[in-house]
Amino acid sequence: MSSESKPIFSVKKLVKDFPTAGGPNSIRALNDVSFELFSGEAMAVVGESGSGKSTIARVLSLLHDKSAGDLNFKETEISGFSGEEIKRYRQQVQMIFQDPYGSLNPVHTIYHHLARPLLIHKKVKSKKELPDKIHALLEEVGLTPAVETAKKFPFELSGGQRQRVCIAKTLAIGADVVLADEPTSALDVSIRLGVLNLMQKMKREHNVAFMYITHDLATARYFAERTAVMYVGHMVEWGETEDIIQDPQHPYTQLLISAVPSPLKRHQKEEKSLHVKNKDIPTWTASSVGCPFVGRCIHAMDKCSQSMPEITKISEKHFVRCFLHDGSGQ
Amino acid sequence: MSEQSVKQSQPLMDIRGLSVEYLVGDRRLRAVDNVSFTINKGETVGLAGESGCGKSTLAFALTKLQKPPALIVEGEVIFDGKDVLAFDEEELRRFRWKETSVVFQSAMNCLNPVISINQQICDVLRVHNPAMNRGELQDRARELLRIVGIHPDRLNQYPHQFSGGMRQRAVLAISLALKPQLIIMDEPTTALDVVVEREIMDQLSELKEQFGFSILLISHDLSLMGEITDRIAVMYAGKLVEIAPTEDVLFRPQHPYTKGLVNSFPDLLGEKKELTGIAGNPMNLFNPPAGCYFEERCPESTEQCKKSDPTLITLNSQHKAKCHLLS
Repeated sequence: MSSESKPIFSVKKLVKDFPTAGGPNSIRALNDVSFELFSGEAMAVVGESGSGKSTIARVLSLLHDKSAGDLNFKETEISGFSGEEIKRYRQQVQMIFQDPYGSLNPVHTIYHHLARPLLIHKKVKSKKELPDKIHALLEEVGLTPAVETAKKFPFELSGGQRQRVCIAKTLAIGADVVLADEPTSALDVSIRLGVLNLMQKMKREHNVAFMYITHDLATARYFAERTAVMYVGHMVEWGETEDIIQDPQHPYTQLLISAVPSPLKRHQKEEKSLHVKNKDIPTWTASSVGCPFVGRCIHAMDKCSQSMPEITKISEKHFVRCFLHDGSGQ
Repeated sequence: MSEQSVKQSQPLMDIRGLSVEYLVGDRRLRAVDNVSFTINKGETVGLAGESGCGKSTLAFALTKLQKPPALIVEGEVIFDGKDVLAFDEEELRRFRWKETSVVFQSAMNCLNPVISINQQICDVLRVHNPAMNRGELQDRARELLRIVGIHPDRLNQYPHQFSGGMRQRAVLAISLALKPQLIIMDEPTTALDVVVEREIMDQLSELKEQFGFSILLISHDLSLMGEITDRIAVMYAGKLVEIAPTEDVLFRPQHPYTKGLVNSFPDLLGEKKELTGIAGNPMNLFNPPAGCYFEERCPESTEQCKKSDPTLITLNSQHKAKCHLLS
């Protein structure tokens, strides 16, 4: 279905450099990243801290400027946007952050938080419509009784409830794309699933496209149709989530998946999980060459430290960047 | 199973009716309420529950580390036949670290940033073994780093030169320094990446096999517990609601809260299914209800649950749960 429809986001060869103080080389946080997002579908971006997954969301939301590459939203390049265009873009592309404590203003009520986007983006004809609209939004995200919740201040809500307010904000202005940066990591276990299920509902009922940034592969499997694996600023493997998890091709994806704890692994203890040469994660700069995983990879070959492998198609929807799979290896 | 019954017969720490309260203004908040369970020799027990259920407060109380406004109001913690809670300062000093060590959640912050790792390990050794000379201290410190998988050449470095995982390993080395019989670990890997978490957990299992200590692993992560614990105790709002061998808790939970908790974790393996989690929010301990504390959020609650708080019911020799539905 999605392969026939047009992507809402199309990113090609995205590069993002951060200048470093004093050094001649800037840190390359994203290198040659390409992907597409489709309406009503979630793409999970997984990887360790420092893999560049949050940087993608920040570049897409225009919080950082890109260094190179194409960023097309509904077939329009977004990096040249200014003023009114940015405002219109932000109405369609919203972010949800990890820390729901930091993303709400402590001195304003929940009502105020939802009224602002509705007024700024002119989603109501007059202020008289506000209360009904806001109460309906709160009910939709499961914050009942809505009238009471609207009067509360952020400190009166739990972490999960605050995250629901943040989700209500994106619903309020009818965002087409939500960039969710670890939206459930700071939440308690029993609450986490409720938020994931709410996002699931938004995806299905409002046809919202999600970029779900997480380090938790198990929730990625639960929520996202597609998954991309990041390592040191490079997208090393991507495809349908089930393919990535059941049949990982890149040595890094295999490492990541073998590390995830699961009660079902209880009886597989003999099979020692981690196959890795050393533990150091490299710093990538604009002049670095080769595959970033080469220092840890047990399959590393000479050419791995000379150039980054091109994209290899494993199946219709499953891609990997590794010399082991490009046909030239072994 | 036979192995388990051997462990059964040798209790190491027996927690009996432990209650801890916080004094808030003129009110009292009962954070741990009449909790009893046993940790056997060589056993790994998991303590699970959501934030604020009292699991860390319990960990503090087990080594009498709690400070006002927290107060142990009743109970006993029997370790090797003696009640830890009755120890005086000197007895406690000998008990802590030598018999039981504690690894806290943010191990990164447990290390002093202006003192080398070497000195931090030697401090612990020296205080408890005043007879050790400089050379012996050094040798032991190098050995400890090697045990936890850090190259001994890094002994004289400072915490900021270590990565998060290495700092956690260094703390683990310090906790092993005096060969304790029990290590209490409070969310030891929550702040770490999944690959690093796996490395540390594998290391821990190896060390446990080598030295035979017991572990009390406190975590909210049931998937992690599922892999390494022998038994799991589940707490809700300060009360122990279920305790059983790990497989029973994960695959045959009896208490509705445990069922909800198990049903909150998407799994990487196995069949993919719709999960429901637990409705509602954690309760306010200032206004405890007359009945079962979980009644408000429980999908299976009855009239009786509103009226009285159930007792911990023994389902079989290893499995206990606190729920009216099971009586």
